[in-house]
Amino acid sequence: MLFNSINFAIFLPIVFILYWFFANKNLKLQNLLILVSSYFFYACWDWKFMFLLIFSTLLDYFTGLKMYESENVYKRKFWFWLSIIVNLGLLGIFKYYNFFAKSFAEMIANFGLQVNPWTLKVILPIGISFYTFHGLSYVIDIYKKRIPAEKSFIEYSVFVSFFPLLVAGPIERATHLLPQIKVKRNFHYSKAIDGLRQILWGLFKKIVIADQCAIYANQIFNDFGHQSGSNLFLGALFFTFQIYGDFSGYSDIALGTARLFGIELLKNFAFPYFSRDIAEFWRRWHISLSTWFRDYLYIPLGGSKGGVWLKIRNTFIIFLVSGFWHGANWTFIAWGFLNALFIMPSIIFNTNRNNLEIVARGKYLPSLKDFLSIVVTFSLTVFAWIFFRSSSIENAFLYLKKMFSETLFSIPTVKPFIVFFFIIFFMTIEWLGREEEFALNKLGLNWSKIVRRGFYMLLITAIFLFSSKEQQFIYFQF
Amino acid sequence: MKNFIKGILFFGLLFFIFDKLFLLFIVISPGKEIDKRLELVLNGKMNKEIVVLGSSRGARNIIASELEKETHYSAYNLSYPGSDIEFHEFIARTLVKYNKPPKLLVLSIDYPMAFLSDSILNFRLDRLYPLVIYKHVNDELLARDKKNKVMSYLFALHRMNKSNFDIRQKKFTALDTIFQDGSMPISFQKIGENWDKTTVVQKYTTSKEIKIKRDSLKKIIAICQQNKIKLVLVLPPLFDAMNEKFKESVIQLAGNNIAFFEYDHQNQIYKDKNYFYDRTHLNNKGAIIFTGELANYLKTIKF
Repeated sequence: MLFNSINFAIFLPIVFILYWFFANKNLKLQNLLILVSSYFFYACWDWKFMFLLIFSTLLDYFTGLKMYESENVYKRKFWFWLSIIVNLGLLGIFKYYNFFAKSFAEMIANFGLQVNPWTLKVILPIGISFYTFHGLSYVIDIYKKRIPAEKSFIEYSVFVSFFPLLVAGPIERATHLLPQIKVKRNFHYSKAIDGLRQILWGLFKKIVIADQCAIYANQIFNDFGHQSGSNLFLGALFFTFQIYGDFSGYSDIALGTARLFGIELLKNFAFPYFSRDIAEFWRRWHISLSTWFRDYLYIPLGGSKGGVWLKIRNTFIIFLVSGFWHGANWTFIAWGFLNALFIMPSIIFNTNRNNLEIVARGKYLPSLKDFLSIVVTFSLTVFAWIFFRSSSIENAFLYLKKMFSETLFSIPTVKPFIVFFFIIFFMTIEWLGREEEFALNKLGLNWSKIVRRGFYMLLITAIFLFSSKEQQFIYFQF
Repeated sequence: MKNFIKGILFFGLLFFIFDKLFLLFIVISPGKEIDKRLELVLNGKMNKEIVVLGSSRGARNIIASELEKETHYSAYNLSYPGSDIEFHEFIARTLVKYNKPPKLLVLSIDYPMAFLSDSILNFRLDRLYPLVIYKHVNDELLARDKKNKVMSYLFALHRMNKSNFDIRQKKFTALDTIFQDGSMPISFQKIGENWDKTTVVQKYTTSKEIKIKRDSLKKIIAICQQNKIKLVLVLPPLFDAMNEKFKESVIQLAGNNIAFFEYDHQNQIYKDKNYFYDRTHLNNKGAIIFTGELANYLKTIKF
């Protein structure tokens, strides 16, 4: 069931009404309803993989309890490593086994040996990377004695399976989400309206921006050998907006939906394309994953405390792992590597925390310096996305070679003016709303009711006009 | 809570009413189109004895009025530049649904991309959206997963596409002028075409053929058989040499009962650039000669 599908448009109001009219009397009912709805939501993808989700939930629930109850260091270690190995093992089998098997065969072939690796014919269970990371953070936090284990299985299951975040995040933390699950939620009109506004903006990003850009990005990337440099440049730009519209759109819908149920999820995007350096970009892009890697990988590896070389090593490790998390392909690893390279100057010269403040706060336009920094950072991300989108590293290099040819300055043959118009509109709204939780959060609140509703109606008009059969979100494959 | 639900319902109702204003665009769109051929088909006004289907090669290389003159059967060209075989199947299906079936269907086959994944030939959705007022067209969009059934019945906006908003009267350009008989011959030559470059015959592998495209040809054959239409597959000339494997693949797929007409390889005009618009399309002079060859062939077969 996709957020941009008719099924979800039916599912959501039903669960909403049941939740606030029938289950609002007590906490247990609220959580039970959310859990049943979440399992139903997940089963709509593939009911067989629901058992994997339940197994993963049970594993982390019991290992968490065992670790918490035991004072014996070895027993705690045993339960901890059991959870880590099984969780990562499942992720490894479903997501990475075939990649390793094929890569091994290719490596062996370089030495003149022929192997036909045994590969698995399985599809990737949707959301496995996300719910595995949920569980891992919970188990690590208990092991490190940061949090107590959750006693209620229902409440723990809601933490793992809450349907808005189940398939593509944000990757929640027990410290943030569990306390909200443990108290009865009350309806707040303003929060619910805010939620609807965020859903509206998310749908606009997905359907009007991402899906429209996808048409041209796919057309250009799939046939890059026959495209001019200027077309290839546009293709990279289209993909840059596609992936942002797609993933941040999904996150907005998830956060908005959760808010309808009185739950606040972690913010996942904070206008990353207005970043002034790569370090700022990574504080604003897929925040829940970046902070996950920071807290559970970068800091345990020593973080920034052991001198420049350790910082460089750790930065490369988290970017390579982050790239690999996105998928079992060398292109993702190359994308991670490139980002690590881009961030290096600020790591070496210790300027990675220079741009903590929102750009041009309280102003309509940025300073020339900020503007140029934004353009440079944006160009670097566009460059890196070419590796992310290409089917192989070889193709990414061929794409770049063709793009930076003399035809880069020719007139492009792909000219979807309507898409250009909507991208400009979209980025303008994002710029105006960059100081808020999401672009539409406060925008128009001081307009008259008629103008505001008219504006929302125009957004819905664009959504309806561009909506076709629902398109899958890119991050579902991760 | 009650205020929230009331607010949502009120806003939803407002939008539902607002949406109906867009029906105007759906009504206006067909009238603004210059290519009326599909609308004629949908309105049952395409009762010709010979109908030509194809992409730009069908539209530019086969002149229906010449066929009419030579064979004495009424003829019309329903070829759409840039269209693929799935689109030809849609046209054939629509034609027999709303009109008296023709006696003969001429299907121009595109070498080498007829059954391959190709970015040049597509299902011409842009020809369908202006005509979404027709149920048959809307049903086709639904069948192709372009729109959602429930949403399309409830909301005018969901039926539409951005092209419906372009309510300027469309005009012909030099390249896509459609003549009275539906054909689109060109009397000039493409500027900048390199006629001297040497090309090698492309490799053709049937394993790269796409099932859905192969099935489209089978469906066209089935439509013709059900409606007692004689089908002739036509391979128009190119300036460059073709791979024989393609022809073999088409014949094998269609079966030996289906008539197959190929341009005369001995005719030297197909090696003369003065008869071509570009390396893949004839110009008007070349089209007259090729249509003559085709007409002579049609006179030899029973239909």
